[in-house]
Amino acid sequence: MTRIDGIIILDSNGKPLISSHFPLHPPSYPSLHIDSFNTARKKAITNDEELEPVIWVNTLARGGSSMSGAGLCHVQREGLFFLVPVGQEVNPLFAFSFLDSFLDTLKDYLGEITEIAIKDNFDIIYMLIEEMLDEGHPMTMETNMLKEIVLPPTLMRKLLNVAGVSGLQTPTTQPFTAPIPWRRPGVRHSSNEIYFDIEESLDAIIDKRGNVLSSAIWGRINCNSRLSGNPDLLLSFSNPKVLDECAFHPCIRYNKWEKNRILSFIPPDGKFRLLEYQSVSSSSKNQIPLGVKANLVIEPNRGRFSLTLSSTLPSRPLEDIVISIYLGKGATSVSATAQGDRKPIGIRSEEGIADGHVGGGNWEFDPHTQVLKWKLSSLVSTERSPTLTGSFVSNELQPTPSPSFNVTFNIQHHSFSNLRVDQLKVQGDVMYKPFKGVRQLGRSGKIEVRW
Amino acid sequence: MAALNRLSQRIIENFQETTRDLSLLTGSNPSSTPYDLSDDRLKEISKLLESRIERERLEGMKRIIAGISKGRDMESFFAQVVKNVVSQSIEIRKLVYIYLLRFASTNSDLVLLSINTFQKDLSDPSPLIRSMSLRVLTSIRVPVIQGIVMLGLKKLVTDRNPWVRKTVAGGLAKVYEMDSSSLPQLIPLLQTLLSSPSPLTLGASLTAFLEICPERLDLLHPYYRHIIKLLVDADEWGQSVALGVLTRYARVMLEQPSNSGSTNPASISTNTDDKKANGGVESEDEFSGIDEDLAMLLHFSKPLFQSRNPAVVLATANAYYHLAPSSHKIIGQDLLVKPLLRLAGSSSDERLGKEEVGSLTWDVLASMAEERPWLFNKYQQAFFLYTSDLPSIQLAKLRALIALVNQENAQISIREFKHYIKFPETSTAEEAVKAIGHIVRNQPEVAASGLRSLMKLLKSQRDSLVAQAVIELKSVILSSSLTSTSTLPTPQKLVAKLAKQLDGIINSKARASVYWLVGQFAASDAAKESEKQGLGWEGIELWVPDILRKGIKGFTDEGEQSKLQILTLATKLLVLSPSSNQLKLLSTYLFSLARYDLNYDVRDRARFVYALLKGVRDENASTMNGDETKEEEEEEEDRGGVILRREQVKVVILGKREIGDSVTEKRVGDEYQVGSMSRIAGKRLNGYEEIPDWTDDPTDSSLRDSEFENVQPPTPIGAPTPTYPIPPTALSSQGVNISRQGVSPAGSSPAGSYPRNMTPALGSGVTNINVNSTKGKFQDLDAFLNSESEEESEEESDSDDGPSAPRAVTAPPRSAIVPEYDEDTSESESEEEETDDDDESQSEDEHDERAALYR
Repeated sequence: MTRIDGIIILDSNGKPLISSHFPLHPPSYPSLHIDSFNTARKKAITNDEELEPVIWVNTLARGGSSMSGAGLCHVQREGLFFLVPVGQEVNPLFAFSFLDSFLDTLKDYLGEITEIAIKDNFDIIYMLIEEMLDEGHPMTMETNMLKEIVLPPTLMRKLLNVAGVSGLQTPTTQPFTAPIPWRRPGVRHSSNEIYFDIEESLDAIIDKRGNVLSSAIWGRINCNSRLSGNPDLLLSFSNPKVLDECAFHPCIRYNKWEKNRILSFIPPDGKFRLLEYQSVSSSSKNQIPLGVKANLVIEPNRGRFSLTLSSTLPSRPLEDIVISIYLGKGATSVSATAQGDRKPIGIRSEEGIADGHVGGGNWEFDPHTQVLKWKLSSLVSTERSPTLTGSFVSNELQPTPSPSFNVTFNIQHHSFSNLRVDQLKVQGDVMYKPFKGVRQLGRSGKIEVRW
Repeated sequence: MAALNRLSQRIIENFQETTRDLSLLTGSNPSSTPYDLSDDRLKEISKLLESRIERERLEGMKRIIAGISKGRDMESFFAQVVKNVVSQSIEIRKLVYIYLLRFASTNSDLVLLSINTFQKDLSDPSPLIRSMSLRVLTSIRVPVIQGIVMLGLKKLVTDRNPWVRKTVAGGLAKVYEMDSSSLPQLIPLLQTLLSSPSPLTLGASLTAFLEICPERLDLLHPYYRHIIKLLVDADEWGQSVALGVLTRYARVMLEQPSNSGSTNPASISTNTDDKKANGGVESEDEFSGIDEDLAMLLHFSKPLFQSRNPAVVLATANAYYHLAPSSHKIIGQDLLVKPLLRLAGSSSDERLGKEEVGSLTWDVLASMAEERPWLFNKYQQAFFLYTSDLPSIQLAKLRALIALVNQENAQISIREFKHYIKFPETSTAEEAVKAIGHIVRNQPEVAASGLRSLMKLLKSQRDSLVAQAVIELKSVILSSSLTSTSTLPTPQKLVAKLAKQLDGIINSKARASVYWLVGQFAASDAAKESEKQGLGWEGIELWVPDILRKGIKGFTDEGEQSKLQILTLATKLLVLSPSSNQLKLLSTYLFSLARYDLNYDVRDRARFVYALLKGVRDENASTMNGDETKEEEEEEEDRGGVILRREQVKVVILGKREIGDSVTEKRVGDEYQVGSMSRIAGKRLNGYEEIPDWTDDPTDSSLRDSEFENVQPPTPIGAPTPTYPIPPTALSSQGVNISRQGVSPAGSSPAGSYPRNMTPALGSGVTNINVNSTKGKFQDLDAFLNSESEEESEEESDSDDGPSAPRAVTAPPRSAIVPEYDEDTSESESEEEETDDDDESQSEDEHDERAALYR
């Protein structure tokens, strides 16, 4: 119960780089999983299918006689494959949660997870796996704790190694004694600062008439804390009610939040994700800052379309707007004209030279993916609505473009939910006044407009 | 300061520059990745391991590990590696440990050389060394040393450092696995661990519990409330384990809440609304009808919905799914919906690659929606499909949407389903067609509109959709012929309409369905027979013969399934209208075509049907006489068997069929519990267990009144100067005051954060008084429970008195609970310390005794 079997890292070709020890299984166990995974992956690629997140692998049970199997959980990151075989019933998200933490830790140690970085630091990775997994049970998972036991490959250590000096350092503090699992004791920074990045993304489905059928706002507060000592922070919002459904970093005191809607926490050092939340879309429901009028007519072997965009956000410009339309399997060519206000050259992005460019942004069609993209560098509410009208040719008698198209954009310093940070109080044994910074970014998640 | 920084930066850069050249010059510098192993590098390993320079030995160990990961045989170095066990460098030791764990079982003799070192390390001042050596000892799995291992476990089970105790917990399972007869000795150790006041060890202890004695849920009685209180502060991994255990415990030991499980709250009268006005004082009957221990579990696990760890959220949702009452203001089942939706929704969008979690969560959501749709009714919108969703997510969402269809949302549902038909993803579109079929059958208001779109689909270019549409139409027609809903056209009309489209339908399966349907509904009303004015065949609708003609004409080009159905169609018509000469000729032609078909199934079917029709032919022959029939009879003369009369054949071939609802058909793995790995994999995994049914005979809550909860953990001898003002279990006055304030009037007061036992006193000189005092300000759980209901068990009233008489509690029998050696101490309790010191020394004596016995 509640154990995973181990962890295997494969390179981009499916060859094993690192494989943890599987003490409870026959020696062939990891290779069995690697083979099954590679077979499944090849099959998925040739059939152009999605690879299931959990692959069933037949294995011989430890007893030897009866057939049994394991679920092979896998993720792909940076071109590498990370496999976690699960031979026993366990919470299905357990393996993936573990993988996520493992990858976060790796990233923390190596900076970037690449094949080269892994090969260079394989001993560290083995030690990490050893500390994180005790025969499949998660052991020490906090990166701060791990850093005391397994020293990260710092530049200094490498230098000492190269120079021939003994690179064996002893950890600065006694491991296993930190009072707070997520914070190293005795953190010192020359300048004390803390930054919050509030990032929101908006998912929405909009129908032909512009009604919002379904929408959701997902927010994250990423934090970069560089504070000395043990600061105790109180972060309060002027409108905490918009934070509807939250996921907290373990450092947040749930109790205080529930009572006063204040985030009270001792932050980990460095970058971390403080909070994820889902925001209630307020009653007006119309937070989509973009108005789209779209029309699509399908005729035998061809189709005509017209799109009109407008911004409904008076305060800030929408940036990097991309509208992508999948025109269906047989689509071969597109001809279209984009129109809109001509903007001063200063604003227009460099891509303006691309073909099809007119005042209203530019468009391109990729015949391999059959996706038509219309890009606009920015859009403000006062300008004349840019339009894209055109037609496409398809070798299918009845072209089947996607029934909706996607819109993406960014809005700097904007929050869809109107979340506002009220103040940040620093308490605890700190004598300094830290620099505090808050930044907001609104961007589109999945926004789909139906024809 | 900044200048200093810059300076050090520059020094590093310079250093880097010069050393880069250095490494270039020397070429075979050992630090150039040891991962690349050539044969001559392998040869050097022995030399490196024997070296006196630490760095070289480290290099040797690195190469060995690299060799292991490349699958080379590194066992030959065992003896040399073992020697390095005594190395001063932790890094080398770690690598040695990794090596030992891999090869110990095959080199048990050599391993014994190192055992001494490990044993010595068990008393090392550094918790890291203690923990590491114990881990290696327990993992080696050589039977000879079991005695030593057991000794080590006993020694460290009361270690001051929670991390070390965590290792002990991990060790228990390993020992049990080696030798299951050690169970009686392990259980007391486990109990000691379970009573530990530190949330850190919780997960590991419960994991050990699951590994060694998962059936002994009765062992948990005294710790049940203790575990629940620690839950919030345990580490994420421990939380998800603990929730699993507690869920099973609650099912087996606690009383089922009156409206739990899959009861739809709408079906029972809800009286919770008026129960408590806003802002009112928490009334006693808030949790009435619910076992107080169950209420405690649910209430205290509520914060875990807010965990950042998906596994914990799912575990909490599972606990609520299986335990919570279906409607309750504070701990109702509906609480699980939003967190799961957040998990599913947020992870599908974000930084690429959390999609696995999203996809699995949607799957769980779909299964839950199928089993208890009312939970999700309010959130139908959240399930709407995006074209950019992964196909597997789209399918899961569709399953949920289908399950959620009801009278109120029928219009919206059908609008959505109609839209999804246009999705480029074929599997999704097919599923959407099925969904429309489902909604047409079950929601009469929108049936007509759904039917129209199904008919329209017949003209679609997308082959598979047409097929699916016909199949759905078939089941719609069949079900409407049974239930005769007035909104739909009669089945005969529908079939006629469908048959008209036949030329446009390419898909073989779909054509087969049409032929079958035509046969099924070919019979004409006897009353309308006269309208035909002699045209067509007797007893058959006017348009039917043409379908058969078309079928026979294109017979050779049809697919296998439609060939079979054309045969069936002909048979049906023959039974219905035996006298038609035209039909007889047509069918004779058909049977001879089929007889020489390439496909043996078709040939088989033709022979079978022909034989089946013998009775019909005979009957016919008696009314007509011709040479032909005589010939045939001669041919068949010597065949035995039963001959069916026409009426009998009619029953056989035109009987009513059961209508399969393609939507509700079983999926692989449905027999497994929602939210289990087996369900996702579709196969039964080892260790899969159904969550037990609610017990009929709940255990008495007094079993869970345990004394030890209120016992002050004794302080170890010579503990470092204590700094932690608030002892974790007994309430200091400060803690109580604040917790009283903490009871929020809204009644939604949460589970408080249990004061953290990770005290700053541990070793390091850094003081964290401030931190901990703020931590201490949290509402204490005991107090919280008090405010919840006055009639809680004695234990609660005890803790209420806590501050005035903190130690007026009955001490647990020594044998049952070994005192806790946490470094949580406080100066103010120096009096206590003395007595505790006594306790401790005694218990240690006891330990030594036991240990001696063991030796």
